[in-house]
Amino acid sequence: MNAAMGLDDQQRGVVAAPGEALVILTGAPGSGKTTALLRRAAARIAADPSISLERFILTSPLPRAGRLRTLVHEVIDPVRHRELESIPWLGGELATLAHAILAENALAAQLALDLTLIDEDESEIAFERAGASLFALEWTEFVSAEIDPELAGMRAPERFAAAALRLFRKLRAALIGPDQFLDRALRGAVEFYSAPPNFADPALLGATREDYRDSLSVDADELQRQRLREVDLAKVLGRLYQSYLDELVRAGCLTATDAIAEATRLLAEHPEIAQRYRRNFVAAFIDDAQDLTLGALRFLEALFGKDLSGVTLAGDRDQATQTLAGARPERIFTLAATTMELRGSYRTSATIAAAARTALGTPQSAAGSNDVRLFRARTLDEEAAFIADEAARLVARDANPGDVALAIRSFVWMRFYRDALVSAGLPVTMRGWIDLYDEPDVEDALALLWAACDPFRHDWLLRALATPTVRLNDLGLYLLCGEPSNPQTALFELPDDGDSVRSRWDRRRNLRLALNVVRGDRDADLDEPTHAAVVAFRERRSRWERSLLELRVEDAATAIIEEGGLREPVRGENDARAALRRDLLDALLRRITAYAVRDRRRSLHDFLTYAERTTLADRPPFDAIGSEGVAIGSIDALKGHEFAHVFVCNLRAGAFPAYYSPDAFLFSPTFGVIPKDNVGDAETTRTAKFTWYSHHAKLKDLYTSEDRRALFCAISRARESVTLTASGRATRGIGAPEFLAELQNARLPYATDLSGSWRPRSRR
Amino acid sequence: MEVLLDDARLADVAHALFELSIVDASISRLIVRRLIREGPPPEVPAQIARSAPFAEVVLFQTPGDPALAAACARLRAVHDRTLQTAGKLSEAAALERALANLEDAAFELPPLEAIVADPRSFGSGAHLRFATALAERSGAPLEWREGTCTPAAPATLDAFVTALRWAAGGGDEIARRLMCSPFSGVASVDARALVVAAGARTSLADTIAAQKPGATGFLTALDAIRNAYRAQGARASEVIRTIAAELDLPSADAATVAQIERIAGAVDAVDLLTGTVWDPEELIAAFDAEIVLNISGQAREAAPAPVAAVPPGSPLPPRRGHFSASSLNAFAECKRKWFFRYLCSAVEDKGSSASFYGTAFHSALEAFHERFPHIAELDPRTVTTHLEACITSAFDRYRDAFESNVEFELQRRRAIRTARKYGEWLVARSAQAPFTVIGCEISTELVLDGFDFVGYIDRLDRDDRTGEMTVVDYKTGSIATSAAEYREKVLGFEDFQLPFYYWARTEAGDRVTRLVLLPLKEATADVLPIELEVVPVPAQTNGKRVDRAIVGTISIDELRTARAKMTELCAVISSGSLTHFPATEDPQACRYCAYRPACRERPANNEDRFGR
Repeated sequence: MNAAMGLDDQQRGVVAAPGEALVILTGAPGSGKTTALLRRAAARIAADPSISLERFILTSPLPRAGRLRTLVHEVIDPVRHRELESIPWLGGELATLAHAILAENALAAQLALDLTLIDEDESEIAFERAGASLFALEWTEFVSAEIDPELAGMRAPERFAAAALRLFRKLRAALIGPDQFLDRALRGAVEFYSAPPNFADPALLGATREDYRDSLSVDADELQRQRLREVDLAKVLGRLYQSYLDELVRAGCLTATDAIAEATRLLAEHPEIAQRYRRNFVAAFIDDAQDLTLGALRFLEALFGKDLSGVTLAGDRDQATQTLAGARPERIFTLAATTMELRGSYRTSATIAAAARTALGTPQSAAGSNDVRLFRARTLDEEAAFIADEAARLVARDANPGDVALAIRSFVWMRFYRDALVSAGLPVTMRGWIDLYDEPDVEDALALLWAACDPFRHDWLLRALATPTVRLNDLGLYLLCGEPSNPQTALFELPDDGDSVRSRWDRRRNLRLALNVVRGDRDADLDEPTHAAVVAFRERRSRWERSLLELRVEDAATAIIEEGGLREPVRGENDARAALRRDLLDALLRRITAYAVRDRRRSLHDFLTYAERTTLADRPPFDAIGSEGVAIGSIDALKGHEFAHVFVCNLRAGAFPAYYSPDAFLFSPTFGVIPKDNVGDAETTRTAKFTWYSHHAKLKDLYTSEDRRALFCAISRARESVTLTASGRATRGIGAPEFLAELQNARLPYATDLSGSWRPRSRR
Repeated sequence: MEVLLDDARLADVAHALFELSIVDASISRLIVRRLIREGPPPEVPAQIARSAPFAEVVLFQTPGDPALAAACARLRAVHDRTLQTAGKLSEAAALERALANLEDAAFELPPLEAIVADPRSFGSGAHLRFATALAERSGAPLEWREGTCTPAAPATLDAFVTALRWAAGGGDEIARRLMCSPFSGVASVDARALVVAAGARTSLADTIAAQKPGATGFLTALDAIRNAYRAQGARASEVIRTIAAELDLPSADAATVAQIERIAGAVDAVDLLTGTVWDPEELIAAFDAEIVLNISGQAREAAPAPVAAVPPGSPLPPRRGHFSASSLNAFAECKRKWFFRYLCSAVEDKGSSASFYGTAFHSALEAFHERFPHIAELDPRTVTTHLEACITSAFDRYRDAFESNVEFELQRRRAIRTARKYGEWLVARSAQAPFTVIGCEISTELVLDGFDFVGYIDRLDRDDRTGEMTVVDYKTGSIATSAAEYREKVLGFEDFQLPFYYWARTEAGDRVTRLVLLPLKEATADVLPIELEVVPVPAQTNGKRVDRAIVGTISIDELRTARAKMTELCAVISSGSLTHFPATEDPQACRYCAYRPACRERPANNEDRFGR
């Protein structure tokens, strides 16, 4: 393939630009950045076929569900595809390269020799172990009363832990270690409290909500008290951070962020190793560079030198949607480089581009066709029905379902929209951080798996008894939860546990249901259909239990799900619904398989416990579910993709954007730790420093700006039409802006507002 | 003669064919690990020294880092000396010598029929050269066959590991885990039932002993395993043999058991070679490092069960027994939750730190007011001191209920601070309108239209001047922020608590004129109770204006309407005609619901989100 074939002049310039210096490639969405980047990589690789593919890097900081890898395959000589298979950093994550470097140099890195790369949700389990002694107050600092445990957020340990882990991930992404963190935190505290700002500043008072204004009325004693609480919090966080890293090192596992941080440390501490890699790597091509963290940038510098010679970065600052997670576009796009801006437009129309710019807050005029539509529904259900109706109409008019996308900011509300699409008979695919274990179909599967592993998990057994192949009615469930009418039926004797706190609960209830189901203690009391269903379920469960020993974990899970009838068609459901259920179950089985293959000592029960634990995870793992259909994706997961028709939904305050509610504490390299909650003998709920810092750093604005860029990015995925929707009455936009209302109020001449005029097809 | 070449048999082959006395590679690795355990090299970080591949590095590599290289060389020298002293060859040396023999035409090799080699251990390097040379020299066909195990292998290994931990002094948790192993000899349902029956506070042994048929055989096995380990000079292989004898192993994976026995034998060999003594955790680590679970297996042809028809709704039997306001509140909130909680009662709602805060606080105030029913007689200092004492004592009683020490400690402190505010309010209130606490946690019964109600009133106050009664309900969670909001809840049939107490006490002959919700959640805020004065005529509402006052009114007619709704709901629940209990449409009600997994009708989440 000719690397310059089909490219415009600017893109050809990119392909031909000298490879020695850093090249930064910018341009609006659809300007052909990714294409130019890939062709540049292809040209560089093709220039000398004797150079091993291992010596090139082509990656994006965002998961692309394999799309970048597919594109790499398209531009690289098919002869070399086999070689490509074993090189995950060509189209995969940068962390895979960091991991490979660490594995090759584990002794020098002083890390375990059998290091594994784990998902973020798995690291939460390591973090839980690291935090156990903190929450048990076993640290010597607590025993010796050196630190008072009354710290911001600590009253709810789970939330404290989640906030701490979020902070540590950001610190890790910014290459700030525990010592540096503590140092900056203590320095920040000294500087802030030694010369506090003017808390009576009218601008500050004016910008502070009435509820929190009292936090600014502080005397010196109260400030001193708050300082002491802050210093203790910093010490606890510093130690917890160190314990967490120690725990990861002890367990020999690292997340992607950790791998990049550790590899960067290794290369900084061992210049000879860095030199070796610097000589080895020929070039790096990074897409979505606006989402690179400082850590990833430093890693690239370690591999390619401070001037990043040989590196090409492609990105767009306006599409930076990871700044709150540690991305630093301001650093990336100000690097000394040959910067090339692509001005072509290969995707969106002028009007769609103008709408995207308006959403970003930089209104642009345009004239043209009505390919931008706005719609405010009365309810969420109506909004979902509208989208489903419109998508079905597009598909009926020959649009390929895969060329229609629904962009959502968070998967939390996804089910409303997805279920409406599926009800309309449209198959769907999903890409993003999907809470798989919260899907009813998956929960049904988990219920059967739990029934096989531990029928005394009554919460799951009740569900298993209501799955489609058993389908007990409420009377059946009720009877199975009761005492057998025959008093002779043996139940377990329960010795007194002396537990006065929970004495109201009869512990026999923990046994009855499972024994009634598994042993048949209550069979005599059941009516004929219920009895038959329970007996059949009992036989199946018994076989499943045996299969836990006879089959591999993934095979046992597959058999249980199959035999439990969860893949069978359900009367009244359409093909799309049946396909969705199968896709979700496949996704579950993929996770079970991956979990079991990673360590063959693991059992199905281990997986279920793990799944239950990670339900609480801050962010579920990235997944791509389904293979064809309307693409439902979180915006970060849709980057790099384009569709003929895009719907961007739920554009209302509290959804997109969400209300900004910071964690119990923040961290700033300049000001140190900023506790939100005022704890101890406090008279106000918030600390003065937090109230001041929120105003000073314009936190809410930063947060909203990121969402604006996300909206810009979502709209820019569309080639032919974009439809922006929301539901309910718009608020005044004080808690969070009302994006749809802003666009409606802008009265864009090229946009059609369908609010109030739309009727469901069924009623037309 | 068929020769099997794998990790387990190389020493036997070397001895049989070449009369070489060797220690196999796994023993060499175990020696290195033992040396590290006995004296961790200071130059090597613990995570490296501990990781399984490090023994290989010591034996066969020279790391670039000089300090690390020196440590490895030191360990290797001790290893080599150990073998030399025992007159044994290392596996590498033995292979070299065997290869030399095979090349020597004068060497007499016994006739071989076949050579079966495991590619994992003989697929590369000197091992491969040896297998190939042996085949060439003997003329026997060389067959590559990977050792596999059955899907029962992980459970088999886990059972031995757990039994070893038990032998080494593991506690009740370990015994429970072992009993739930498929090889414990206790039927799986019985095993899990016993664990559930033992709960968090009873020992497994006591629970087993309480059963009529009992699983006493398992207790005997536990004793035997522990005694085998405790016996003086017990070798690893002896303990493993005892475990194998005590477990019920017919369905276990034989290959894994063989590997376990081999490694235990290797550990014993290390004892002899080094003059040191094994340790169960070392043996477990050796299992981790040396046993590869190459599980063979294939998916089962699954025959899906037929999807059942939607069953006809059969009415549930009429509910017997009494009602409570909180059960009606639950019914109003989510009928499915009510079904799971009050009818099925199969899942324990274990509570949270917030709920135990509330329970302990209620208990503390009960103790306080029973001792001091007339606050006006007390000075503020006494009130504070005694309140704090009651809080401390109540929280101490509930200490174990809290999930963690930090939750207990911080909730206790929060309660003390809140109690101080409460004390201030109490003193001010009793100075303003002196009252006497008539009772706390008053058991209350009421029959309404034939339905029995029971409940507990947190506190009942009598105004010392007028004799009017106030029903007080302590609220330690979030509550309505205004009297109007609470009244709306009563009128919307979302809360039956205070109407029930009102009618119960009125029935008992009291003149109840005030219903009070006392917020005891936040220590930073003053205690500002939500008060509803009971009036004969409903108050006029302010139209659309939001009434934020904390004092308001509720009319007797409105309370009567609430009462009528209570009996109406009771009639529905007791009718014997309910066939299905649908879930709420409000996903917020599901947030902390204990029955989330059980509920197939749970609505999808549509809550507003808070980003961070």
